[in-house]
Order: sequence, then C-alpha cells, then structure tokens
Amino acid sequence: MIECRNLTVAFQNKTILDRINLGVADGAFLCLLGQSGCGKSTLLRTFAGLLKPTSGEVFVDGKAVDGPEKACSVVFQDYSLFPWMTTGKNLMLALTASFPQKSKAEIRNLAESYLEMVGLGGVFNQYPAALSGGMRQRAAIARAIATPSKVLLMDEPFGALDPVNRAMLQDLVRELHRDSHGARTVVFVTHDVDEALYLGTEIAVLGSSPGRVIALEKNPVSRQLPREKLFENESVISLQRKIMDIYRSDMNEKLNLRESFHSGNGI
Amino acid sequence: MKILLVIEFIALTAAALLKHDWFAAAAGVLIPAAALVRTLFVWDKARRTAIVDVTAVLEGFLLVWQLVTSNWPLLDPVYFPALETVLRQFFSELKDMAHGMLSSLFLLGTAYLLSLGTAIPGGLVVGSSTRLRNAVEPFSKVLSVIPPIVYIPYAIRLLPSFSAASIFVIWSGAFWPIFANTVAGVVNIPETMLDSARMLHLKRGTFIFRVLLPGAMPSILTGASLSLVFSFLLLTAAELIGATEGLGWYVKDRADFGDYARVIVGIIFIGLVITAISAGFKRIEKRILRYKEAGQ
Repeated sequence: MIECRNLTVAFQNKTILDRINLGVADGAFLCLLGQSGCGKSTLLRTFAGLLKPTSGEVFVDGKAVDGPEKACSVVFQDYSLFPWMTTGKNLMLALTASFPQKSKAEIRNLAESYLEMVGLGGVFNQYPAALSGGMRQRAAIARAIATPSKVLLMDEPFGALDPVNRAMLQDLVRELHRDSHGARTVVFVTHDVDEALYLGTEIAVLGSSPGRVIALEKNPVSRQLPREKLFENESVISLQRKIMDIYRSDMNEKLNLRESFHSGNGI
Repeated sequence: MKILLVIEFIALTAAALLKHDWFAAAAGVLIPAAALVRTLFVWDKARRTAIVDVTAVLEGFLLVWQLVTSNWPLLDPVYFPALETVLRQFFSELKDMAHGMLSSLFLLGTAYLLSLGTAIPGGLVVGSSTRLRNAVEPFSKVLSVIPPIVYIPYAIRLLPSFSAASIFVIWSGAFWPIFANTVAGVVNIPETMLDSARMLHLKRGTFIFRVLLPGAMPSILTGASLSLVFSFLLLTAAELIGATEGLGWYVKDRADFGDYARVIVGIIFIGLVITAISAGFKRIEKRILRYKEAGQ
C-alpha cells in the first residue's frame, strides 16, 4: 500500500531522513518507533504528501505522492479538530468533502453514526473545548475513518493522554483495524515500545541523526491475544527485549556522539 | 459605599430642590433608583458592589457639580453651566442630536464596513502567502503609522464631497489595524491545524470560509475593535474640520457661538453613543468567539 524508495529529507543542510526504503503491505498496521527527533513524524508527513522529500519517492496505493494525498487520512496529537465548529460539524465538513453528492441529512446521519462508533453518542452539538482530551482524539479518529481513505496515518495520537484513556483508545484503534478486515492500512507513530507491540502487526525502528530504519520486525501474534496475555507471550517478550536493545544502543550512540562533540576529539 | 451613596442622594436632592432645580433633583433621585432596580437582577455579589460603587461616584460628581454651579456659584457660568441647564438642554436638544447622530453614523458605518470589506479579504490573501507577505510588509509598516488626520486637507481638496473625503479618511485609518491583525491571525493558525485541513481536501471556498477566516477570527476581532475606536476619532476630527452636520460638527458649531451648555450636552451625547456601539461590538465579539468558552 505504501512504498518509499531512497527517501531523503533535509532541512537547511541537516539530513532528517537518510535514504529510507520501506514498504507497508495492504491491511498492515505499521508502528514507527523511535526516540523524539529521529524523524518519524517527518516520515509520516511525507507519506501524507504534506512534505515534499528532498530526493526519493513515495508511492501510496500505486501512485506517486504529490501534494496532500487523497488516499490518506491523518490524526495528529492535537489540533486535529477545528475548535470553532461543533464536533458534529467537524465530521460533517470532512464527510461533505468526501461525498459531495450526498444530501445534508445523509451527511448528518453518517456523522452521528461515526461518532457513536467511537463511543461519542450525544456530543454532536458540543464544541471541542468542552470535550476531554480522550474524547477529542476519539472524535478525530471518527473523522479520519469517516472518509473512504485506504490509509490511516496517526502521529503520536495518544501522546498527551492519561494512562487509562490511552489504553482505552489503543483498544479502540486495534478493534477498528481488526474490523476493517484488511481494507485499511495504518501507520502509527509512537515512542512507546509497549504501545507498538500491542498495536503493530509490523514495527519499524528508526535510528536517529540522521533518521534511518534500523530494524523492521513482524509482530504476528499482536492480533491474536488480549492485552494481558500478549505481554506474557514468549515471542512478544523476546521481541520486546530485542527492540529495547536496538533502541538503547541507538540512544547510546547518540549520547557518545554528543560527548565526542564536547571533548572536541576528531577536529 | 452604600452609606456614602445615601448621603450623596439626600444632599444632591435637597440642594437641587432648594434652588428649584427640578431636573437636577430628578437626576438625583432617578440615578440611585435605577441602580437599585438593576442590583435586583444581578446575583453576583461582586458585580452588585461594583454597580453601587459606580453609582456613588456618579452621584458624587453630580453633587459637586450642583453645589459649585448652582448653590454656591463659584465658577464662570459661561464656561461651566449649571447641572440644571445642561440636563434641560440635553432633553430639548435630543432631536437635533439624533439627527446629527444619523449623519455621523452613516459616514462611520459606510467607512467602517468598507474597511472591513477590504482589509479582511486582503489580509487573508496576504497572510496565506509568505512571498506576498514579505513583499507587502515594508509598505504596510510605513503606511500604517502615518496618522490619517494628515490626509484630511488633501482629501477634502481632492474628493468631490465632504462625505467622500471623511469616508476616505476613516477608511484609511481603520484599514490598517484590521489588515495587520488579519495577516497575523492567518500566520498564527497552528500549522498542524492547516495540515489537518489540507488532508480533508476541501474546496477552495470552503477552506477560506470554514478554516482560514474562523482561524484568524480572534485576531481579526481584536483589530476590528481597535479600528472602531480609530474610526470615532477620525470621524469627529473630520467633522470638526469640514462638515455641515453630524455630532462633531454640532459640538464645534455650538462652541463657535459660545454656547458651552450645548457643547457639554454634545460631548455627553457622543460619549453615550460611542459607549453603546462599543458595547454592541463586544456582544457580537463574544457571540462569535463563544466556542472558546465551551470548556469553562
């Protein structure tokens, strides 16, 4: 579904992403894992077409990405919803853009049903400011899945939530992906290893400075086990250990890099 | 303050009755009475106290005015007319002043709407393009700091009528605060919010009216309220120079004839009109930005 070849992104001579080659299969749930500043959000934005790569190409659904990609919908950590519209109007705006031939009543019904699907019946006429952070992200997810896009891109969507809301929303996203039966491909950016293990059918670890894929792991059991069983599973535990090791060595590398800068060695 | 207000009320009413100043006496009674009725409809204790305090200050001011102009006339009655005279004139001049107000508000309304209608679209366009913004910024920086009053003689000479000239002057003053704040409003919309809008693939018109305009709206309203104050200043200044009707002209004309009671009446009336319009503006602003209060 998504394919990037030799993707490089640089800002003012600083390389953020260095020759990334990555493929995401149809219906996969890929978690992009990496420490902050490694360029995982940048990679997501190039998939969405919000950022033009310096060199290399991105293909989504077989077409080269050029400008905001119609096959993708996005959920950001915040500011996904427009605060000046009620939650219902936010969904209706997206639905009207996707289904211009539908009548206003149909659009309204659709918006209501999608809000109900994410557990938000009854907030149609409330402004986002009146909702809790968790409810706002539920509404943002409802808006993203209400459009007929094949790819759902999520940029640390639960980063600002408390642990309880976070777990509930992880369950929601997991269910939504399972119920789509392969019709929807998800790319999910996070820095939380357990979140990646729980959600991802595939996990790509990005190394930092410059960002590149340092590991790509399959996580086949993630859909078969409930949360409490998942982290007791042998293969998940060994995967967790493996990713942690990769993560740690990348972090140490970055720290060592800093130290050599300070001591002035090599200059 | 309550006791002070009662003392002021008794003193003002008594002083006015002693001199047979019926209007002044009526004001002395009616102002505290109106405040009392108002407090009956306000539940918030702090606000009730504020109403009493404000009334006490006003009543005290009127009491001093009454005493030094009527009971013990210390001041020159030509420049400092008695409270009674001003109040009588206020009511007898209401019709003339209302006429002047209509003429002033016509100029003000036309010019103000004109500046909203040019500055907001202009600001949205300039705000959404970095290149255009860089090109326009030096000019707007220089032009916006020129006090528009300096255009008045030129505008009066160049434009066919006084109305056209004053509309131009008010427009040129009201334009910049709205324009600059619209540009700033667009620039300050969070990038993520714009990205989120881009991914919805909205039509151009929908994007402008449902995202760009409301996103910049808090800033636009700040500029618009600044401009409203500017407009009043410029309107009155323009009327003092070249008009034959309107509130600014009313004050200047009465001053030319040395009729200072009517000058004061005109000043008070202008104050009331501007306060009413500003209050109306605040209500509209609050209504438009009501979504911000949803969380509180």
